[in-house]
Amino acid sequence: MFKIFNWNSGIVEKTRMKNRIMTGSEAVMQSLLDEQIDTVFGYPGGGIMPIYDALFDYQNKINHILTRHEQGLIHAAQGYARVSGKVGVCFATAGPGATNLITGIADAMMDSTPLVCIIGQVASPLLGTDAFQEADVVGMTIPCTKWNYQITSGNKIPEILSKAFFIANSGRPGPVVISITKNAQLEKISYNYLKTSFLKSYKSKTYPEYKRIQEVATLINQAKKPFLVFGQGIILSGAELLLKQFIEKTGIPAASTLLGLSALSSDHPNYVGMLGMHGNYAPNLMTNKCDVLIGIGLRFDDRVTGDASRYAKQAKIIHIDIDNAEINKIVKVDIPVLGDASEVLEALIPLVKSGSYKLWMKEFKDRFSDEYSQVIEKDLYPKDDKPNMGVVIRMLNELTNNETILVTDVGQHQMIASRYFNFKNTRSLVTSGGLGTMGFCLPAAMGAKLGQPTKTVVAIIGDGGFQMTLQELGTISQYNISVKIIIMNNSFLGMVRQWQEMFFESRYSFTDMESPDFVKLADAYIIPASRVTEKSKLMQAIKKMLEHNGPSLLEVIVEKEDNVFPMIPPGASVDEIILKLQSNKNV
Amino acid sequence: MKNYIITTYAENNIGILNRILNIFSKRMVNVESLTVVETEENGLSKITIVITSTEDLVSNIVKQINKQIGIIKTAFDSNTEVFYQKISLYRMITKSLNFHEETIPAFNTNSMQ
Ligand SMILES: Cc1ncc(C[n+]2csc(CCOP(=O)(O)OP(=O)(O)O)c2C)c(N)n1
Repeated sequence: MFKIFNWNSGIVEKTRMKNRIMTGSEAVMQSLLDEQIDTVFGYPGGGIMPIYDALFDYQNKINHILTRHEQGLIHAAQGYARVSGKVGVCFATAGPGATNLITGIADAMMDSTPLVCIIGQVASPLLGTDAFQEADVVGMTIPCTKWNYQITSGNKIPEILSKAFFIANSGRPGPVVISITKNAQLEKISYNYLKTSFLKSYKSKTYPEYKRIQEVATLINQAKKPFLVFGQGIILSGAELLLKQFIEKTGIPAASTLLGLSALSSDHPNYVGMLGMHGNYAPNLMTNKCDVLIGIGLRFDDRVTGDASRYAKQAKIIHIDIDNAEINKIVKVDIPVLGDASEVLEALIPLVKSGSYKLWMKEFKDRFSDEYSQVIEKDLYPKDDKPNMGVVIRMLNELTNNETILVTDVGQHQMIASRYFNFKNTRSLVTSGGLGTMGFCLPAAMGAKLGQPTKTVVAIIGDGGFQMTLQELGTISQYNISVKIIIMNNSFLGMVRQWQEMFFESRYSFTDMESPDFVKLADAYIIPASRVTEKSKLMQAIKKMLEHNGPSLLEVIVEKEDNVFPMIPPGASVDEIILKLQSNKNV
Repeated sequence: MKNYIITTYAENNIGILNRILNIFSKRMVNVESLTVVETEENGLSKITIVITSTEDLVSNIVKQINKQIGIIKTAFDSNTEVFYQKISLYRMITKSLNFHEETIPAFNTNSMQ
């Protein structure tokens, strides 16, 4: 808990002068320190200059990373927050600085990432007058923030920032935007920081009803074919170990959503794979075969449910989630439990009986064999000498002993990487799941490396997505941020091309893409790089890239027209998942 | 589809009404009537919204509203569960604030009750 130290108590080094007089901008710095924030991602400009001036004196306490674009800084903050569990802090200037952040704010909202974005604003007398670089940031970010607020007077700064940090990283985490007018940044205030731990109009904690948990246990104990599906809620709640205990005690098979990946290690015997459109065959099929479906910390996104009206209709559904608005939103549930995953699992574990479901588990294994022979084997051990995406991921697994943090962009490579990467430690996947933001990967990887400096961070990016935020090579180079960048170059916007092939009669409308020489490009940023076109040279190239001390880049020329399977075609139900191209394409 | 009346108590902050209304426009639900009044409790507003919707949708919307920071509580009723009271307010120009019957010649206090 926060303590207010007394100036007279004698603990000089720990003492902060109570009610010190300072500018609003310095109060921002002090507030960050009081929240134990040591890393900020930012980009200056007129509207936030007083804050940057204050930062000048705090450089030894706050590590500020200057990116090359505001989209870069916010994705970096997201990557940082996702791997560390800490709040990602962003600085941006008014107007265009603010609007450039919006993609990342929306992304963080969808993926429940804790961010506090501190954005400059024109002086309050100018508000509403279309002043130079005035943008109604608060108005614009209402739909994509957990909370936002505009500070127009300096003495509000400590109170509002304290609220902002509490809101961002409690309950279901999310982004908070604080706009600070220029006059507020300059005003002299009397600084006193009190940490927030409670707000009247915000329920950060839930108190799951014990009776409900008993009902859940009874239902699980009676089930013949129970199936557990989990999402990022497990990670956000720190319930990884409890999840493991629960499935080990009950013997229930468990599958993960895209964002839940790494909450359970991929080689756990009860782990049956990834759910969703390009997830594994077995868990998707079995969703419509189980008799009790236990959902924990996931929101039944349409990429997971397929046609929701045909989702697990045969099953009794239990939904455990911290966000009441997610319960009964898409899937009608039989027993809703409003609560934090850890708390609920902790109460549930003693009530469930230990057991195993051998025959039921075998059904999963049989389906896995189908997928292995028809898809996985070809993806991971192709016969020809052309590299493909699956092989790159397999080699990464072999070379890194799964100690790596994987960051992906959006597209085919994202699905292949998520499918085949062996996750061992929690928080080892950073990907844009909800919003599916191309350009996310490179900056997010940079932030991830800063959030977990001792881990190897590998960025897997498509040729398309790389070119959306490649300017961040400049940041990587300037701060020597050791990210390992692998570009999977198929000369196409691959995922869109796949859809065109499957659902639009192969009419490749504007999806072939020419790229610059990525090796030369990296060279311009003084980042060592190489290109591989043959599978036989791939292992060595990846090894070399990983061993290099500092950032490095590898471009892998992959098959141009490979497709990602299995796939739940859009509009189909989870059990209509296909393993290969259908001859009649009128899905 | 039925008429529903949503009542929410919100902290009287700038922007909170926007936040609430945004939930309706996001779902493409038309707000048929909207009133905002201050309550006796300081800093709290009572917001009443009428929409036509299904029970599932309105309960989802109410949960979304409840989730917003600054909302104290939200509830909904279907139109048939509500008693109506008609109230009219009139504004009149007076020279003084003494509520003598002379200042309101057309109405006397009895007729207002
Ligand atoms: C910002 C943004 N624009 C467009 C899209 C739509 N989109 C999804 S995947 C994809 C193709 C990605 O191509 P590439 O980066 O080369 O990766 P690949 O699918 O080939 O692995 C596109 C255009 C998106 N997700 N995000």
